[in-house]
Amino acid sequence: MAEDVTVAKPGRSTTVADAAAGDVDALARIVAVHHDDMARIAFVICGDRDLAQDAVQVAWQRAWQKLGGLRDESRLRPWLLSIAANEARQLVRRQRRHSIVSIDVAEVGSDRFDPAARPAGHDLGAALARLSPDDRRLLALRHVAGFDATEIGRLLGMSASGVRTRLARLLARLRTELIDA
Amino acid sequence: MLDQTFESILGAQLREYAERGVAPSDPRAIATELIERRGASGSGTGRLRGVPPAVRWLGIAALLLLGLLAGLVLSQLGDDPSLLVDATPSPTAVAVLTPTPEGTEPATATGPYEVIWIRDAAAGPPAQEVVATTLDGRERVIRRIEGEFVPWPVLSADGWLALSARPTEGEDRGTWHLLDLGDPSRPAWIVPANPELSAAAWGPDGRFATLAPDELSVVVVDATDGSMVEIGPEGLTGAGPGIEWAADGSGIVIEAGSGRSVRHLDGSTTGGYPTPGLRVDFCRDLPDECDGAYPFGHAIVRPIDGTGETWYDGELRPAKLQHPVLSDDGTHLWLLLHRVDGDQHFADIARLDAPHAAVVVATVEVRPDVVGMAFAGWSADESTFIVEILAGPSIEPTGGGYAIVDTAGHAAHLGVVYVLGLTPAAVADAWPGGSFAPIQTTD
Repeated sequence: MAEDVTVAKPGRSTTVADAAAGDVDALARIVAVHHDDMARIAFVICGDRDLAQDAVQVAWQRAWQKLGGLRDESRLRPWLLSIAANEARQLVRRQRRHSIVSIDVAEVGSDRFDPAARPAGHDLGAALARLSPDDRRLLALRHVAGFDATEIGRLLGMSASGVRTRLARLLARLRTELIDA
Repeated sequence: MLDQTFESILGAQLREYAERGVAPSDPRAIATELIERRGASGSGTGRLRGVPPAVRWLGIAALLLLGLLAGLVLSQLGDDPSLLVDATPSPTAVAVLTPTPEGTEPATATGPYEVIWIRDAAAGPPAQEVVATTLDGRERVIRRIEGEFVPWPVLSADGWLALSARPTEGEDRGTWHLLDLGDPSRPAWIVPANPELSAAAWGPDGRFATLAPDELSVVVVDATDGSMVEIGPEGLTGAGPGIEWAADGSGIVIEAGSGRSVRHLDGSTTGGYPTPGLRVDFCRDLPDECDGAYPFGHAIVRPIDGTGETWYDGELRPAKLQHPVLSDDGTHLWLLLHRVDGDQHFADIARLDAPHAAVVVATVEVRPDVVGMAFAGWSADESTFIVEILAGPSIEPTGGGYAIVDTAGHAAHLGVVYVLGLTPAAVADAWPGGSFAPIQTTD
């Protein structure tokens, strides 16, 4: 006999509804929970903290305007992060049309991608800078937001298979640049 | 195969790198500012940080005025067909696109469908091969295409293939190449494209839609005659954004207000396009997925109001549920299950026409290192299925290839390639190309 099924209720329904109705406290709680994650995603795509903060600011405005229409409140986090990712991507593309964006290539943490795994050459920031904003968005949603291929596919309008294929090629390219180079 | 060590290191380093994007923030101040500005356009205001408030509001007002003017222009474009772009692209013959081999007649396949896919050519200059594989283990090359293409092709139901080419160095736009697989002598249509965006889709009547290079319009090309129109991109679905054709091919689905509409090719809009009525929630038995929100192995069908009804709660155990998907018409549920029998692993496909009424309709043996499976597509008549095999040991399984199976018991396996979809054998066999030979690409 199958066990009873308990269907999880959306956890932030009251907060989202209140925020959409203009409750500052409710909206502040949502911002507190998600703002930093949005900034992390945007930074991986922009490679520049100021640009990333700008993207997040615009993302919040877009999200705020549409918050009341969010049908499935349990999907608030992927919804917000995808908006931030898209705004970051758009901002980089707009900037690039007019000038060359200086991607922050200062090295991470230990100053090298991984002291044990990569002998020489490039660092992560430089490798990211050579990717397209779309590819950086894919990496950010996978490895920083932690979404699986199915979720990313749902967010970006792609098939999960397509996401996996593209991620696999991206990882292979990064491996070549970061370790095999 | 990408190893777990590299993938986990990369993930950790990316997360560490991403921390540098975090700056001190005041959630309440952000919330207050958002609420005070309710209704203002968000676009561009980020660049006003640090500017005195009076100047900021002047800037916002200017942006609103610009937005209003842009809206007026776009609405004019939408309302007046004479303003629509009618730039019929000349059917440019593309030197890099060469149909090969020529002069060979295809054999006839068995089974109602063939899987169409793309692989890198094994020898010679950079090229890709479009391949048709039957479910009795034969394949043939339909077209060899020389050149560097983004692995992001899209195949229409009637045999038009869209391939995206990256821009050459110094260019800021790419191109889509539209090829008729049924006529190798027909030159490709070349459509300017956003080089990085994958948003593109074939409509049901042979029209191709993609975003313009500047993303300010959706370009729609009729592959039969190369005529082209542009319509506004506002409201495209998905965060990508994505391009979704209306089921009748009358236009592109957009989100407008609280509902969905169709933007037609003459720029007009019709509201009331149905929202997706149902979705399926479930959790595979993987760590960190769903945070325990749903019971493992159950499939819960939900309408958009958030209520839910369990359709499957493990009746086919010990087979493990991998992927439940609603049928295209939303009337029934398909389940993909992983079953282990001794040292053999199987993908079972079950159909449910009502809750708790699962019936296995197809089975295929899969490789033993499978760690997960997912539906990658099925034929229009739901007789043939493409199953993606996720094989370890990577954290995000990336390889394992595909198993294609039909309800008559035919099955074929493909390696890690780009699968375009299933095409009726009667259609695919009419495409010129090479003859069938025993399948080359396996796991």
